Amino acid sequence: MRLNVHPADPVSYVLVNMAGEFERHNVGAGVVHDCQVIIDEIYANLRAHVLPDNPNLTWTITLNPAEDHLEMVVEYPGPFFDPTRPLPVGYRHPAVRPEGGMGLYLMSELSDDLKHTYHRGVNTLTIRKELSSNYKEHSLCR
Amino acid sequence: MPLNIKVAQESDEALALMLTGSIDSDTAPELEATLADMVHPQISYVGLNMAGVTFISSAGLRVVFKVLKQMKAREGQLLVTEMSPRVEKVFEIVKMIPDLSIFASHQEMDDYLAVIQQRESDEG
Repeated sequence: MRLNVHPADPVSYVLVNMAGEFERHNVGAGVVHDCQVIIDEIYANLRAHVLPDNPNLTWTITLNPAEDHLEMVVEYPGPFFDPTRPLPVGYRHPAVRPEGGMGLYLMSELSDDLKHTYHRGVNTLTIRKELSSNYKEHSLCR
Repeated sequence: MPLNIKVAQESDEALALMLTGSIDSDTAPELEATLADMVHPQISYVGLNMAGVTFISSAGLRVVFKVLKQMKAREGQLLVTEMSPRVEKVFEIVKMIPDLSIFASHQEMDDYLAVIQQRESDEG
């Protein structure tokens, strides 16, 4: 599924469409939620750092569900902007960390692979989420 | 996925909100504005019933953290009840769980807030 997202589209438009597509592929609700959090963080980053200089920007999200993993590809044209950097060197509690970084930390913790590439004026973020038994799950007991 | 915010309980010292829907980067500012409007300086206990919350991202966590910080500064508490496992997982990842007073049910939170209200009226 490929979804074009326009600047006026609410986050819910993206999240609801994603959920529908994943549900069609019998992806569990927990994994869907993880993927939605990642996309909300990316959208918030684009709004904060890319849209102010390019208010008409249309970006796309492509969902590629496979048997053992999910791949989400986010593409946006414009200058180089990598929302996955700088990856935090270890997360600090909000009380002691400087502003920002929480979304980035969530994105990196909830994905199994997160990669940014820049080619001929197009930023591409590829997010992989494993569905196999060793898929990265946070235990509430950890 | 809109966010619905209902006042479940309100007194001089305590406020409990019932949240339903999504706390995402679009709706978190609504929650922040509601809390800014309703959390008067004398309130030191804020309760959030999250039974109906289907989604939360860092935008929502920042709002919750802001009110947590406020309550701590007032030597009060932020009470949370009925988080779904997927919402709790997000709180757990950012290590906020130990700072929250998590109640198993809305009734348990209500009972606790009733004690606070009783104390208010005894002192008042």
